[in-house]
Amino acid sequence: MDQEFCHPRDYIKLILENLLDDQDFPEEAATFAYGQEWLPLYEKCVELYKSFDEMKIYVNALSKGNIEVDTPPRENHMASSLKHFQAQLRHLVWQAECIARGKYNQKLDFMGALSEVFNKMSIQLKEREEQLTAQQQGMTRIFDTLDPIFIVQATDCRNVLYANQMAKERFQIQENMCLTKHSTATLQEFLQLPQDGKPKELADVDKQHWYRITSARFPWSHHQDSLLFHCVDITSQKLHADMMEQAAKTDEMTGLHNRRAFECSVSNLWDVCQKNARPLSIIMFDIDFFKKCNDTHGHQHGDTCLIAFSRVLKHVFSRSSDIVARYGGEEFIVALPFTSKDDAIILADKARKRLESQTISSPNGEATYLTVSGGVASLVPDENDTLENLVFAADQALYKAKQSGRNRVVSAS
Amino acid sequence: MIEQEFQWSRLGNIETGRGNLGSEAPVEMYRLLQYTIFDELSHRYGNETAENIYRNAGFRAGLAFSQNIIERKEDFYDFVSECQEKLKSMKIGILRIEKADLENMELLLSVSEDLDCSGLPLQENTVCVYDEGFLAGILYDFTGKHFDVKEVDCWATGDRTCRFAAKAKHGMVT
Ligand SMILES: [Zn+2]
Repeated sequence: MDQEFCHPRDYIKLILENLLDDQDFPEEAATFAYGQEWLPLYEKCVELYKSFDEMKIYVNALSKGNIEVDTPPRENHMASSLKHFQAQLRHLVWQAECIARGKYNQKLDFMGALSEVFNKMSIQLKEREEQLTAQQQGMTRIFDTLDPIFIVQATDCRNVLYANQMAKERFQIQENMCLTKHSTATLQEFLQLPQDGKPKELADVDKQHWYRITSARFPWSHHQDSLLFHCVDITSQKLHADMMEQAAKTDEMTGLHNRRAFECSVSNLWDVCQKNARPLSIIMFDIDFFKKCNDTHGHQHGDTCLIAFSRVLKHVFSRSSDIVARYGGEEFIVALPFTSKDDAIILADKARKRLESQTISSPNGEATYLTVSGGVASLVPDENDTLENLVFAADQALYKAKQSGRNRVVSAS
Repeated sequence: MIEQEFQWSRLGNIETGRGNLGSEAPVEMYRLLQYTIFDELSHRYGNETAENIYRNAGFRAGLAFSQNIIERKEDFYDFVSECQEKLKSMKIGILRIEKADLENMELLLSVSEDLDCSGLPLQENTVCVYDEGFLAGILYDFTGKHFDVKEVDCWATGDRTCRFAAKAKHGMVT
């Protein structure tokens, strides 16, 4: 119907066909409106076409999920219900955002079955979060009753993320996890520990408590790397162990080192003297007529005599580097580092004289006297000598002192 | 802007006053009141002044409504939920949030089944000026800021929901 004249109704038919077939507006249809009479109808057709076009674009965008699409203009009444629907969808987005922020009091009421599941989901989420919170609080309470100390510290900002009750008490961490001067210093020390998950022993800043501390990397949350310190108070174990160690080294009656402890310690002195090329002196003492004393006054008196002499030794050999030990029975041994033979002889004799001058009451109140013989040996240690030889030399000298009448000090030649 | 706040007690004791008829009245009566007063104002002072009067009266009403009916909430999301609930239970409309830019204080709200306009015949312009003021009054009570609230779509202009764009006025002294 191109060049030929058509009746306006044919043009209207063409316009409607194109509209229904999703075709462009037939521009040639404009010709039918040349008569004044048909102009209003033509304009309505154009308007209808425009409204449909706008709707197509709008629906297309919405169907693709673009709910932010601009709405058709106000005069496009075809779109009004869909605009309402779009508004509701956008509100749904807002509601979902609320839920994402932990605001679960959102109710959907315009989406039929979707409303039902949405509301169910929101309720479930709320319940789950409440459960989790309750569980977390329960776990926190459990950890608060535990003796071990737990501290979680952020790796980046060094903030304390968690501390159980014991940690708060011991290291003075505040309720809001803020640190005090004390806790800052303690944690500073913890940070020096290797993070290998192996326990280390460390005293706190006041040296009041000992802890066995395990320090390990700990994923506190997805985006927060942290360190977990797990500390067990081992102060009493530590004290007990110290006591046991001390007991193993000590002669119970006199409180002096025993022979084993002497042998352990004296080799150190040997090395130190050798390194510094300084003399090491050994004195062996043996209480005179001890067996006779025991037989006459009883074993208890014998013990008193041993204690009396050990006191003398402690008094005379009071340098911290001196080692004084009960060597066995009534035999005592002294090691004096950085001490010449002459000085050792003087000191040994001082001890001998001090003992001689003391009276010791026997069980029946009788005043008794006690004497001791001593042998001194001394040398500057080197590789050709041995400690055993030095002790042997002192022992030989002691033998000589006994042989030559007792109550005297003899030095090895 | 407001010389004296509206006293809620002026609404009287409806329960005792309307023992048989109750506290509700038909929407027609509400609209009849609204539009006849508007007609009279418009007739006397012109359309623009009438609209301004309505908007300001709406603001007083929104403020009083917020102060007396809406429970105080600190959080915006809780506040919106509370508004939705109260606007629905008072049968004013169904409030929905399409967009909330809290940083710039810009909101896009829709009110469906609006008391003022839902079901009105088509006309040239939006009609919910009273609602514009009402929403501004509620927002003022929550934020302490004055808002420009403009109805962009209305049942009266062919839409099926009323849509309001709200934006905080800057530099306004209250
Ligand atoms: Zn409206």
